[in-house]
Amino acid sequence: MTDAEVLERANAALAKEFELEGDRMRPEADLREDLDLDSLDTVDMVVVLEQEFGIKIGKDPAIASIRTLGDIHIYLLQKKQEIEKNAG
Amino acid sequence: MRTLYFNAVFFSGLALWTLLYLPLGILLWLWQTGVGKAPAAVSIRNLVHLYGKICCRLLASQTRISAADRASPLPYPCIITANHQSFFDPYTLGFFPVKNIVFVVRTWPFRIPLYGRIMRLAGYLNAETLECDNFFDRARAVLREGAAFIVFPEGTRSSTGKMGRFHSGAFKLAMDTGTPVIPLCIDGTGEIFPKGSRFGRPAAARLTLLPAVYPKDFARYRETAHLHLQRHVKSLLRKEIDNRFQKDDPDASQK
Repeated sequence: MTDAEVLERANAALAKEFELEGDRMRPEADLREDLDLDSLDTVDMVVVLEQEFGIKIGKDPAIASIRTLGDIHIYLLQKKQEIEKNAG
Repeated sequence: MRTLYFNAVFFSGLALWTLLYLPLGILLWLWQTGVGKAPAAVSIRNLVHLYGKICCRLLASQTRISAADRASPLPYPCIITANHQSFFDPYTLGFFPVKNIVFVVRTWPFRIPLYGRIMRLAGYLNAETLECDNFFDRARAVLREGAAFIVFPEGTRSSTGKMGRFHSGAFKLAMDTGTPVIPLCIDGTGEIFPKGSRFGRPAAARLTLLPAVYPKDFARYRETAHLHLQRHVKSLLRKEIDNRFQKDDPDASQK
């Protein structure tokens, strides 16, 4: 899966779960201010991404520092790199 | 002219009833907690319901409102989840035989003089200021008392009549505690009291308390069970609104 595909799938999964319109899915979008996601939604977001990509995020401390959609993208791409590194 | 009459009668009636109910409510509260030995918070919740009941009668005298109850007898404790169209929606529970109701509200209603004080005494929960864990601890305690929660999962009133995104807190609470969810479909109050308008207008509204939805039916979804429950409840509410809409206009599809 390419990086672009990861981001596309992540955006689509989050947009579907949280009923977000496409034009709001900008990397700089603040999860709380722009996307109206509260702390409980952040927990749901982790579950949605785990299911979408078949990965384990759980209570990864890195999640606590996520503020924007772009932060999620960076986190997922790092996770992808880790998996690829471990696999190969 | 009809709108002017509606507003004059409804708002002056509301003000008069509120003024009358203040001393009456205090007397009833003293009697219930003293003679009846009712817990103070429960007594206030039931007095708020009685207040709402008369507000509903007042509105029904000026508009066409129908209320259908397909849920009674309600299982207690339970979580009533309603879509949200107008400021009047919390009062609409006055159309139904619900008791010991705890509202989950945002911060601003707590700032209304007197109302805020009554809400605190009734033990209503502020979904905005309570930390997540603290909120769930207090919510579980309320359910253990056997009370009914009323939650508006959209968190704000819809300005278009179309339902907004549902937040999942109420559904997570339902899954964690095995508490049944009662969907309350509110359809048309947004036309009577449109968001952003200071005045109301006579229009038709329909309220439907739908049969209970049980969390155990969603347990198979494990960690996403509350999200499935949320989607199911929302689809029931949407279907209920669409049914009315299609009866009114057979060519219409989606509101």
